[in-house]
Formats: sequence, structure tokens, C-alpha cells
Amino acid sequence: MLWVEKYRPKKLEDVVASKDILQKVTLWAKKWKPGQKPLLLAGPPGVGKTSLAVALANSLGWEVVELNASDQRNWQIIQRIVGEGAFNETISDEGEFLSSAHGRMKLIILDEVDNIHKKEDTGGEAALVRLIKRKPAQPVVLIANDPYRLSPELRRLCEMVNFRRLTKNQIVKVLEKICIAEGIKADKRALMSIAENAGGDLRAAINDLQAVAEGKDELKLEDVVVGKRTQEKDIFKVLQAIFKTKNPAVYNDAMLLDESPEDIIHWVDENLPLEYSGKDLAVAYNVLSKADIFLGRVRRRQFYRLWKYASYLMTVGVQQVKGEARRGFTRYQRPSTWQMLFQMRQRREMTKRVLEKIGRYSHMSKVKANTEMFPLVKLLLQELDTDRAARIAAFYDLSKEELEFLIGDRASEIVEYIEMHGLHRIEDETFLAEFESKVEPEKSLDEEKEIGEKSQPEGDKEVRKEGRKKTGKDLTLDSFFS
Amino acid sequence: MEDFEIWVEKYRPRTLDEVVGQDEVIQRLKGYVERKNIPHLLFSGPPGTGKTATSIALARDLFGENWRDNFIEMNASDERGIDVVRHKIKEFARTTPIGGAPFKIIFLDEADALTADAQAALRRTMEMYSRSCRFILSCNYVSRIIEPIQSRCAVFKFKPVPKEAMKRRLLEICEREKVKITEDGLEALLYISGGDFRKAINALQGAAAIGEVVDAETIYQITATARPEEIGNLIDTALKGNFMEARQLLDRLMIEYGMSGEDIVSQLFREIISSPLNEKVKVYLIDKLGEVDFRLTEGANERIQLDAYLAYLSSLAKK
Repeated sequence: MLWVEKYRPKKLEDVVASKDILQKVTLWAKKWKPGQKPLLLAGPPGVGKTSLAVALANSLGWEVVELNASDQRNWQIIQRIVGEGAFNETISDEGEFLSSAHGRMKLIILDEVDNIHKKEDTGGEAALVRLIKRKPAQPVVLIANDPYRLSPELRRLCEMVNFRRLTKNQIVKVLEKICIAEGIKADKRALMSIAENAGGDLRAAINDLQAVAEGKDELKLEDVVVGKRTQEKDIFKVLQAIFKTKNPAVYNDAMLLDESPEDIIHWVDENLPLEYSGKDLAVAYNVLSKADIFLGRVRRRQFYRLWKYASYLMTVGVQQVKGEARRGFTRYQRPSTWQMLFQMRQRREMTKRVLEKIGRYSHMSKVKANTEMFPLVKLLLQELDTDRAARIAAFYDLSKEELEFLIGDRASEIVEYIEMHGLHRIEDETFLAEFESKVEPEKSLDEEKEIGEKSQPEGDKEVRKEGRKKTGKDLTLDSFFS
Repeated sequence: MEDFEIWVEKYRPRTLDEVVGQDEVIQRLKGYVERKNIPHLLFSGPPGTGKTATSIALARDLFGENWRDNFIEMNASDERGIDVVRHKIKEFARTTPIGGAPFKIIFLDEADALTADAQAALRRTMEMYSRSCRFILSCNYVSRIIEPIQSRCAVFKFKPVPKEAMKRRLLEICEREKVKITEDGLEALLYISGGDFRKAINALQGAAAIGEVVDAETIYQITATARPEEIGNLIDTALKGNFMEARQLLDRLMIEYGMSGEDIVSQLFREIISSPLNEKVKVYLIDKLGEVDFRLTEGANERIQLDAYLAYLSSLAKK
């Protein structure tokens, strides 16, 4: 049995997570009632998101239904459970419905929600959003590695809990417990080394521990060095083969790496300019950009067989371009894209939100808001006096966070001014924001009392009839077209 | 009147009479207002000529105080797909017009952003709700709207705002805002606007915010700073052959400005077109850039494609 399963925490107290996460989650569960926001557990792999959800259910005596959201085949099931909120049905391990007389609560765990295809009509993120909006009758937990790949709408519908990578000490503690349970005498340095290598991923650490320690009485430091994950070293070797040699065997080496071409291409991209220059650099980048096109096609259409072309181009393709290899040792860099990714997404997200507001209140699309209004609004917020800048901020309904993003430190001065003077959006222009919420006719319209009485929101049919009668009487549309 | 600080909002026409420079269009529309009825309308014309403003003014004139309840605005390029559009329309069309209006108005901006298939679907939607709703579609080019839709609409062509009319309006705004503008400043404003009212007013407000007197120089300055100067810097650096430095600039644009690959490409386009480079070189650069843009829409990685573009630029250095 895999140790990660064997030692999966049974109760909430056993879960390794920070106090605030535990508190937040417990509170969510305790006050749960139908219609409450689902929980979105977000964070890197192996930090205990699923474990926490399962342990939570165990602690409360809830049943667990765990489904992989990105798997199309599950969608009917998800719709049935989440959508219709079947109180009295339960699901077996094979995915069959069983009837359960006792209506225990079911915690529905949807894993990998950041991997669902956005485009699909059935299933897909839009379907998930629809499901959640229908206020499921069972508690739902969504799990995602990268919450910023979800649409803002979906994120807003959930209560997000962010998991961080675990610290070395947290991991070592768990490993120690497992060693005691397995009757293994472990050198603490060995455990430290495993923890270090795992990079905050507890699951990886436990797997590594099992690989080197299972069946032993004693775990020494030397045992671990042998079992150490050697990924990074290998990618460096591949890079060296690409940049310093002309040996096409590098294609096979790259295929054997434990990294997908999606990752390898960033390694090549990052280090290419350290090795090539001038013409070689441009030609090599041309080849690399073509490799990227194949990756794009795979991403969009799931044609994984196209990966091999990408792999070949980014290794041998780049390799063969060079006239002469640069001499001497090159210290290869980790791809900076990954470090910037998070920050970049956050800022884009913010830009998008600002553009949405500008677009909404100035009657234009986001694209147009970006080219036509955004630079001006930013400039005016910076240059005008506080009063006028604050009025603009209020006109576009910009939040403090958004103002900080746009104009930095001046934001607080403006926010203060807005609060002090009670500025707010001029309601006249909000007509397109949420018309859905305003569909009920105002009852105070005196001259329209007659219609007002008839068109209660529930009396849908009546409204329609009324509408028809009126339009039929007054309209002469045909005369315009003939 | 409300206290708007953004001038394009402050001086947005409230009634059809206030719309500037579209006399023919306005006259015909006023005929509809008198008869209290409109057919489906198709407004076409370049940006900033008053298509949206006219639609709103028309709704105000038709519906009076209740115009907001009977008017919905949608953007074909923002709403994800025709299904969303249809759903919204359905929701909106479901209820009776408010305040005795005979119909509601659905304004669909940038309708030419819809594919032909989506337009066909839209046509069916238009038919389905034509009893209770009128559509106003707006587009830049009528030719991009499928014929069945064209034939169901009364087509109105908005022209670039004539210089004289724009001049009068701009001077009016200057007076109301107590902005001092020089003769050459006004000329510059008319020149950069190309008949686009929004552009002219935005440039005027921007220029007024940074200087005491608005003259040609401040106008050109403001239209130049409207795009981050880093883009120009990025191109220069790459063309000098400093790939690494250019790449760092690129990273900064993506991180600090939150610009997407598409943003950067479209800024690069504008910058290259207006740069003092040799025209023959520009043709190569634009050709390559188009390829990058196309690849991005095909799902390629922006960082790698832009890195490749910068590498291409820096390889030109020695020539």
C-alpha cells in the first residue's frame, strides 16, 4: 500500500496546515447551509488540499464524493449530485448510485477544477458556474492548483483558501511519525534531506521516503543521497547537450526527462541568450518559436502526438543552428517565467477589472476601454487635484486596490477624500450593470399601476400576455420593413 | 447636470439635438421619435462619431425618464459568444416595457466582432423578439454584417465629424472648462482626431491636465505619452543588438504594467509604424510581427514568441 494513502490524515487534527486555514475551513463547515459559497482550496500539489477536505468530512460525519472535474465522463454524475442535490442518493466507489435511507450530508469534492476545458459546452467551467449558481443542496469543495486559471466569476462564487508550500520542518515531523509507525530508526539528517528535496510537497516527500526506507529497520543519510531526485541535474545535462554539442541523441535524453516539453521549452528559452548571439540567436529563436506553436496546438486541441515535433525542434532544432559553441562553463538559470507568472496574472487580472469598469461606465468594450480611455484615466488620476481625481475614481467605481495599482501611493489620499465627502457613482449611468436585478417593475409608478399589479415576477405568463397585447396593438414594424 | 469629471462623459449628448456633426442621421431619427416607433437600426461608421451616444440619446428622447429600464447595452466583443448575448437578451425581453413604452431597445455594440455564424444566430434572436424589442446594432463596417441582418435594419452611416462642427464644439468645451487653447493647438487637435470626437476630447482633457495653455506641442506630447514610452525603448534596445537588456524590458512591461502579449504586440505595431525607421525595414518588422500576433491567437506562448521577435530585431543590428 502506498504510504501516502496509509497515512492520509483521518481527522482534522492530523492535517498539516496552518491554524488560519484550519479555522477558516472548520468555520465554513460548521455554519454550512444550502446556498452557501463552496470552498475553493488552492495551492501547489502535495500540500494536503484533498486530505484536508476528506478529513473535514470525516470529522463531521459527512460522506465524501470525490470526483475529478476535468474528466468529461464524470459530468453527468456531477450534475446529478451537485445540480439536483439528490439528498437520498449516495455513490459507490464504481460511480454507481446507491440509495441510502439515512440522508447523511455529502461533501462533494471536485478535484482539478483548473483543468476543465473552458470551451466545452457540456461540462466545462461555464457548466460548473451554472451548477454553483443553482445553490447546491450539498456542501461542495473545489480544488485547484492555480486559482488564477479559473474565471474571476467562478472565483467570486467561491470562498478561496490559499495553501502555501509546507516548510521543511513541517514535512520532517510527518516523516518522523511515519518512520516510528513503520518501526524504522531514521537519521534526522536523512529526513531533512528528503524534505529539502521535496520542495514543500509533502506527498513527494512521503513517496520518496517510502522508496528509500520501506522494509528497512534503519534509514541512514547515505541511503537518501542515492534516491535523491535528480531532475534538475538532468535538465542541465540536456541543456548542455543542446547548447554545447551537435549530438542529436539529445532528443532522446530530453524525452526521458521527467519534465514535459511545456517545461523544457522555458528552460531553453531562458538560457538560449546565454549561449548564442547575433544571427544564431535569431535563427535559434525562430526554431524555438515554431516548437512553441506545436505546444500551442496541443494545449488547444489536446493533440498530444504533436508534442514530439515540439520536443525535436526545441532540442535538436535549436542545437543544429549554431556555428560554433560558446566555450567555457555556463551557469544555467531557472526559467524566470515561473517566478513572474503569479505576479503577472495578478496584475493582468487587475487591469482587466479596471477595464471592465471603464468599459461599463463609458459604454464601450474592454478592448476599446484599453486603447481609448485607460491612458487618459490614469493620467488624470495622477495629474488632477484631489477633488477631481476623486470624482473620477468614484465615477468609475474604482476600489482602493485598483487605485493603488493605477497610481500607487496617491490612492490612499484619494480614497480618504472619497470617504470624507461621501462620493459615489452617479446612479444615472448604471443602467447596464445588473438589469437582471431590476426586472421587477417599480411599484411606485403611479400611471402604470395597472401593469405594475399584473406583472409580479411570479406571474411570468401573464407578463408575457400583457406584453403581447400591448405590442400587437401599437406596433407597425412590418410597415418599416416593407 | 451631473458633475462628471471625464469630459467625454460630461459632454456626451443627452438628446438627439445635442449630437454634433451627424445632421442627416439625426433628422431621420427624429422622424422616428415623432412617430414613437423605430425599426431595427444598424449604425455604421468609424469610432468616435457618436454611434453609442446617439443610441442613448434616441432612447432618452423616445422613453423619457424611463429610458434606462427599456434600454440595454451589450458589447459583442466582450460577451463571450452568442449564447451569452442570447441569454441576456432573453432575460431582458422577458418583461414588459416599463412606463408605457411600446418596446425595449437592445443596443449591441461592435456587432461586426461577431462571426458570420454568430450573426446568423443573432438574426434568429432578432426575429424571435421583434414583437417586443428593437435592436440597434453598431459596427465600424457594414460589409462585415451579414446581408440578412442588413436587410432587416434601417442602415445609418455615421461620417467622421466634419472639421467645422468639431471645432465649434471643442471651443465650446474650452470655454466651459476655462481652458486656454492656441490656434495651432486647435489645429493639432483636429489633425490627430481624424474625425473621432472621443479622441479629440480625450486629448484635450489630457493636455489641459498637464499644461497651462494647450498648444500643438502639448497635444502631440499627450498623444505620444498615451502609450508607454518603454515600447519605443524596447524596440531601440533590441535593434541595437542588446537582446538581454531588451528581454528585461519586456519582462517589466509584462509584470509591472500587466500587459498581455497581445497588448504588447499591438503597441509594437503602432510604434513601428510611426517610427523613423527605413520604410523597407518596417515592412519586414511588421510582417514578422503579424506572424507573432497570429501565433498568439493560435495559443502560442507570449513570452517565447516575443523573445523570438526581439532576437530577430537584435540580429538586424549589424546591417
